Amino acid sequence: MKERQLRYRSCLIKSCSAVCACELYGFACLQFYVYMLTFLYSRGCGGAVGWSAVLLSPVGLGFESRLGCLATDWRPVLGPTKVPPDLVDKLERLALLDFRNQDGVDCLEKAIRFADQLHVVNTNGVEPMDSVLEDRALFLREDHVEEGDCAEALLRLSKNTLEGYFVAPPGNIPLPEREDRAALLKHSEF
Amino acid sequence: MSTSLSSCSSRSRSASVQPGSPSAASARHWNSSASSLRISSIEGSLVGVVGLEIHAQIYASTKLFSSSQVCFSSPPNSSVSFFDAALPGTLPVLNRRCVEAAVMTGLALGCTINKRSLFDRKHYFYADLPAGYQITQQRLPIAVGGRLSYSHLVGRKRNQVVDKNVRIKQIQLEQDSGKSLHDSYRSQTLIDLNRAGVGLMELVLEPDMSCGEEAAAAVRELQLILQALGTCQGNMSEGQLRVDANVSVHRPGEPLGVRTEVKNINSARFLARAIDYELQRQMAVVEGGGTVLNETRAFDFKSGQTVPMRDKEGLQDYRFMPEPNLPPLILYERETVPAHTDPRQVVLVDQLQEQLPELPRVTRDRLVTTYGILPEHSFTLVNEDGLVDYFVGVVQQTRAEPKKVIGWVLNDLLGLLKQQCLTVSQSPVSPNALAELLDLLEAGSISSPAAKLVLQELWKGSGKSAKHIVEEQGLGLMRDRSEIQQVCRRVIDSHPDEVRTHALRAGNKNVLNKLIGQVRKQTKGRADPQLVRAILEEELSRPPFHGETT
Repeated sequence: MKERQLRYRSCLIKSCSAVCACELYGFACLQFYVYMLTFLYSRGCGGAVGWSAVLLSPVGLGFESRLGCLATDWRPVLGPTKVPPDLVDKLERLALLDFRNQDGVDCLEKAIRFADQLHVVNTNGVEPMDSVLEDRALFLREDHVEEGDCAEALLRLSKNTLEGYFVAPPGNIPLPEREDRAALLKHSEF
Repeated sequence: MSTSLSSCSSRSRSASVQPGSPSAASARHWNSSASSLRISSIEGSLVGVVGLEIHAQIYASTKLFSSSQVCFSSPPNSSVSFFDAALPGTLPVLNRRCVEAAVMTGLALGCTINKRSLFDRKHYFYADLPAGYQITQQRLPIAVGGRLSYSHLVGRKRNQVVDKNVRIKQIQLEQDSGKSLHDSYRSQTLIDLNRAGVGLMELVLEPDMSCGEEAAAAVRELQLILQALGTCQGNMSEGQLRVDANVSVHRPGEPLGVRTEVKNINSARFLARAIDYELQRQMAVVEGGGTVLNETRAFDFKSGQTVPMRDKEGLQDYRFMPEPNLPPLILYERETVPAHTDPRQVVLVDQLQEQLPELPRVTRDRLVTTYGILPEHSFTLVNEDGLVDYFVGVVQQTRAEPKKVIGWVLNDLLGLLKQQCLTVSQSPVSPNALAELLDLLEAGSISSPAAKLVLQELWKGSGKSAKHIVEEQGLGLMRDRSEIQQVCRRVIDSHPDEVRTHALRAGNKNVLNKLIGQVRKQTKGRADPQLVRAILEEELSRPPFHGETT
């Protein structure tokens, strides 16, 4: 059981440091975290669940207060991380996020510093785990047609369709530069 | 990194390799296949390096992770399940047939099958990828390290077979994206998700090739192998086999140059042209002192040129992540299967190995050894869909030798098929009919030119047998000596000048042939050529001649 816990934590470390650095607020990360949380809870690894709950808390812009109230006795382990503006720009472009202003970037940096706690666990010689399903058999489906044929239901979900096709903007519109972005969002509801 | 030329093993089966072929040490000039474009490196030192990424659509009834149907042209968005549309709450369920197809392909290409392989997510945003990520196998694919052996014809007459090898880096299972139709008039894109989620096998070939012709030959061989296995229909025009080429140039011995990726290639013929154009362009840039940009270029088949694609912005970061919804894929052998497992839930690698059908290479060797035909002939036979069965059918039903049959099948039959753009299955002449015709020829009932006439008649598909046509048109071999003698005398009488020339220069071959031609015209090709020649010679040497004044 001890070994299992170690592997869960090492799993968290590997994924979290990668994900935290790249897309803390990304949807994929959220999905993964929620999945991890429920599974760990079901396995009765309370300690790991505690870690996950704490990690989930810095999610979302402007929830800085949560950081302070839930985690009471943590200390920064590694030095403060500064995210350079180029990297912030790249993250915004890749994951289509918006850090908006310096407060957002500060939040990100604090979250990274917080997640560095995971480095306290010694994972030397421990094989990283990337799925809690690793000892389950992957189900193989037979090659029979059972789904599909619901074009109308799917097209109803989209605001803009044309003769049975979904309509999308042309090609890939690159994210505008920072200055233009501010002008674009000036009148938005955010 | 060894150069492309030194790393491929080229065994020339027939005569020595001509200096102009790509496998020679200094590739100064070589011809590409259809367009006879000459690629020349002015300094004579730059060589091309071509690597291919091939996406082969798995031939299955349903998609890779959902059980919606796979079919080529159906109404837009009609075979899309909720998972394919990336609606929340859906999960992937792996298709067993796709796993078997990938394992069979790996085994046929001599790859090591990874008993444990993992799925990953490759993230990028595009309208035809509803989920925002593609499930692929990047860390640990299903098969690694194999070899594709292919041959291509070189030489001026394209009749010398050269064997080459390409190393296969890996084979992985991945999802296809949807189809997007660009409507520039209304500045929008129309998305059809029928293709989204279809299983693909991505085959990554190492850069062991050096020109477009080699790449085209390798892709053709791969097409034949996949079609023989039944794992992919290999139809490039329908998008079942898509090839992207990574092209770069460098000097032998130096590190590899900057590579560009060429996309949007719709057929094997365009593949060769696109690669050759890109190689020539890069050589011109490098020799002009410039540097090649690492970019993605699209091939415009109308102009035969590659143009930069606007959509790709710099280097993409795909943020690979392990797929959390899928456990590792474990493959078993008969001995390693755990007890009490449902047999429908396991894929047995050794069982698939035993069930592999005959591969094209083996078929070619078998034809050469069984029927004694030349390697280049068996190459052409295997290249055409269904021609091998046709040939074997004819050989089994006729007394004629396979060497003669192959001539008729490859020259006459295939020529007529190509002229009218028909496939072998659509041929109006069945193997039985051709066998009968060849029997008549073998028995000496008709002459060779008459047989060709009969084939033309059979081609019209009137349902008459060869024998019937021969009787009808009176094409039977004229054997009656007296009749031939009469015709010969008639011809001699009507051509006194030629006869005199023949007498003056005894045994003048041209005159004799001309007279034989006249006899053949008169007898409608029915007379036995040997007999005609003998009788004519006899007649001409017989003194005295008509009208000859001694």
